[in-house]
Amino acid sequence: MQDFLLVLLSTAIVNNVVLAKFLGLCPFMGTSSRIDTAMGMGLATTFVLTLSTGFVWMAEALVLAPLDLSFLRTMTFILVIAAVVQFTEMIIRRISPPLYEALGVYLPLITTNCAVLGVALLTVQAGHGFGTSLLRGFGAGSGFALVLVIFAGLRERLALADVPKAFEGAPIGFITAGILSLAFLGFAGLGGH
Amino acid sequence: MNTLQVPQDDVIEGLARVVAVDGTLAWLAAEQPSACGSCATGSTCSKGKAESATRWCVPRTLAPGQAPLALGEQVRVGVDRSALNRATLTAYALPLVTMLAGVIALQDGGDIWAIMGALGGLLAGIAGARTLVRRWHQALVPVVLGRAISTDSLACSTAATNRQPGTPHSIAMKGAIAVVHKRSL
Repeated sequence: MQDFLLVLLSTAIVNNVVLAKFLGLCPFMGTSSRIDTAMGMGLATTFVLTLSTGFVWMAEALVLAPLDLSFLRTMTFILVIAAVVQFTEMIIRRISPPLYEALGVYLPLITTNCAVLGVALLTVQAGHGFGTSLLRGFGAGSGFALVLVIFAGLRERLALADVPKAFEGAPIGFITAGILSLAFLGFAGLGGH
Repeated sequence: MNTLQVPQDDVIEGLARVVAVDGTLAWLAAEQPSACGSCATGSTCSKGKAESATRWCVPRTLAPGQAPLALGEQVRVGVDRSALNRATLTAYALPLVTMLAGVIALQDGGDIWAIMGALGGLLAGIAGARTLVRRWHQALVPVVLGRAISTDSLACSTAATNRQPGTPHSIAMKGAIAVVHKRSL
């Protein structure tokens, strides 16, 4: 159980996919203007990241590696991620059509989120078992959602701040993200030996 | 829920357009986000299909003395913020939690058992989330808050707003119109 917690802590905070690996910066900047939007996008990305990591592991372990087709890895993973996003759309639509109408617009954007492909590739390369890989995907997704919500809260306050004209909008956003990244660097080495 | 008195901070606002009128009723469709309008694959993507399929039916007259809604007119619609957040959390987090619980429970049996546990947990979580979210279905149906204000008229009304702070918005909130029923055209 302690191993699972360490994997979660490591992927969500210490090796945060956005602030330590700098993946998924486009949705990080694009959907963090409001906390509601950030929460919806963060949860949807966590869901897709976890599921796609599991399915990608199965594709690698059961198809690509036995048939010696590892050179098709990136292409296969992109297809798997697109299929998982489509599957997620179907699930949300089945669970609640009004919820799908409110949040469905974010789901196709996840297909092009490089963090999803990046985490899938890094997880498969690490060579863990299915359970650990799935946990790594969940941890990475949780980390993405966490920093997205934190950053959205900061940007909501920034919107009310007196920012110099040259820094308004994206520039002050990137500066804030950089400071947030430095703060997350403080977790480096946590839980390691 | 579709309450007629919606506190201002508890509503997430969006835009909808009148796509059909029938006597005293009007059918609304959610406005597509600007990016969707310019997408060449809009007719084949699932979001585009969903938006063309779902309609919300409301009375054409939003308030006594006002002109009835006309075809093509834009209105502001709102969804209960806390219900939406609760439903989002349940729909996404519950299947994940049950899936991870299934994996952790069967992990010792090897990867095949872990996969079985994940799939079982995922399906159980989806079923549970569906049951829970269906309970809040009514709260997730949008209510009409009022006619959409164009940029020009918004600039004109700013002066009036300054004289009587919050008046236009609060009137719109108090006049929130519940959806009569939902149907596909």
